[in-house]
Amino acid sequence: MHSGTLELCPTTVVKNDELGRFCANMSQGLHALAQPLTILRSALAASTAPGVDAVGQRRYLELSAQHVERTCGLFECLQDLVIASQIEADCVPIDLSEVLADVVQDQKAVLQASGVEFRVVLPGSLPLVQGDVARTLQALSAALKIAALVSSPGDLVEFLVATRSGFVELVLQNRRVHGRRPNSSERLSLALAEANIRSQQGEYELDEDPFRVSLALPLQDGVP
Amino acid sequence: MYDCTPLNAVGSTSTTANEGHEQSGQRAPVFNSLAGRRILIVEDDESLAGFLASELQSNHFAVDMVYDGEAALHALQGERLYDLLILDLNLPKLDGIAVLQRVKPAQPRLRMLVLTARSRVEDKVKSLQSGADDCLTKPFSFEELLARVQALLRRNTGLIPNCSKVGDLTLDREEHRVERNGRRIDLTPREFAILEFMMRNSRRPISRATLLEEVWNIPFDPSTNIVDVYMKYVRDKVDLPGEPKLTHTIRGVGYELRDA
Repeated sequence: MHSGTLELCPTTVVKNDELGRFCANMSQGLHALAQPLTILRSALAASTAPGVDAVGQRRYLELSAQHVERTCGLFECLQDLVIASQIEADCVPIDLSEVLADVVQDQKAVLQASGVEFRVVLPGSLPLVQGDVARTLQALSAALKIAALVSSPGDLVEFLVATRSGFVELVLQNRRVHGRRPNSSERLSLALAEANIRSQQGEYELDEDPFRVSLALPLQDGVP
Repeated sequence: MYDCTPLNAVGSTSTTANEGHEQSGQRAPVFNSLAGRRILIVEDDESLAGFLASELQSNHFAVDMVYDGEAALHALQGERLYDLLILDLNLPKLDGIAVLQRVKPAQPRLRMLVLTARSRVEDKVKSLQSGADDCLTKPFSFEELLARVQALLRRNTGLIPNCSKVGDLTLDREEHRVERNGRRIDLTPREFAILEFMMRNSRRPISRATLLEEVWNIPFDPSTNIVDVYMKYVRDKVDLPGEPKLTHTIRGVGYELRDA
């Protein structure tokens, strides 16, 4: 009797946690959407207001175009959040070294161009993990992009990859305290990264100050 | 996209109302009598903050921006006096409600307009109970924000009256009219802004740095004599030969407006 209750409780808690997280992420997403929608609504109204000259109209329309794109990006992110919660990940054995190579190289160039040092610590070889390539790539790209956005010239961003207790863990961190914190759009991208990692039975942790995000994917063969 | 420049290291930017209306392509300002009132925008979405600042500038407001709650407190404890706070609720470091609760007791006369993406009645009630004067739910149209800003600032006219008088010199903010003993004084917008600030602070010595900051909205630069040049323009128009002197030079400090 007791053991039955004990087995049921954790399951219920996990489900509540997942639902709670999903609702919080959707709420975060709606909040993020409200920002460009405010600019869009205002700029479109302004573009047709009396007294606006041709230069002003053009400026407002360009602003509207920019924020239509931003709104679409956020909408897509919300759709992906729903997908991550409803459709199971297509998990296959993944060689993370291959996945990381291009993404890390691209981001290294972006970071260095903006004056941020990027240090990568990769072990000589990595065991295969069990995961969904597309979801892993989204999570990794979002984490790298936001690590760059919250960093300032002169900062050091570290990318540490290691194997620990049944997982390969990817950590992105900037040790500088009181740096810029992610805004609502960036938090939504990170929320999607979290949903994508968790949908692969992975683990996810985020600290905003100093910025540190940890993505962990399960090893293909479990605990080595 | 926006012509805002960083003010300091806490993630804030400042824009000046006086130059804002010169930006090409902006709408004509709707309401002029509140020109020059200083607004602090606290909004973590930098593009939205920039857009609001740019539009408020084009309506002749002086605007500063910060992107988190701690920076907001820092700005409000600084030397600049704000007429209005536009505050997002969902902020990093310190949320909007906490900012309201700390600012209201310290600055009870500061008007505060809360922006929120939460449309729940409870959130609005909590904001108003925490000291907000008004709430606006996103996504709003700037026209509505502007109307609310103007309404809140008009309520503030008890703090800065439409007309000021120093001796026989009068300044009407609504009409942009200056007279001395019945003589009309024509001032350029910059000269008007200098005199308006000095009348608000009459009988107090005002440093060149303060004038540069408040009227030009730029940090003090000891190599420029622009303040002295403009003060001479103002003085030449205000104090004609034979009239009692109202503008005084305070050696080592700056200037003072007083009638004796």
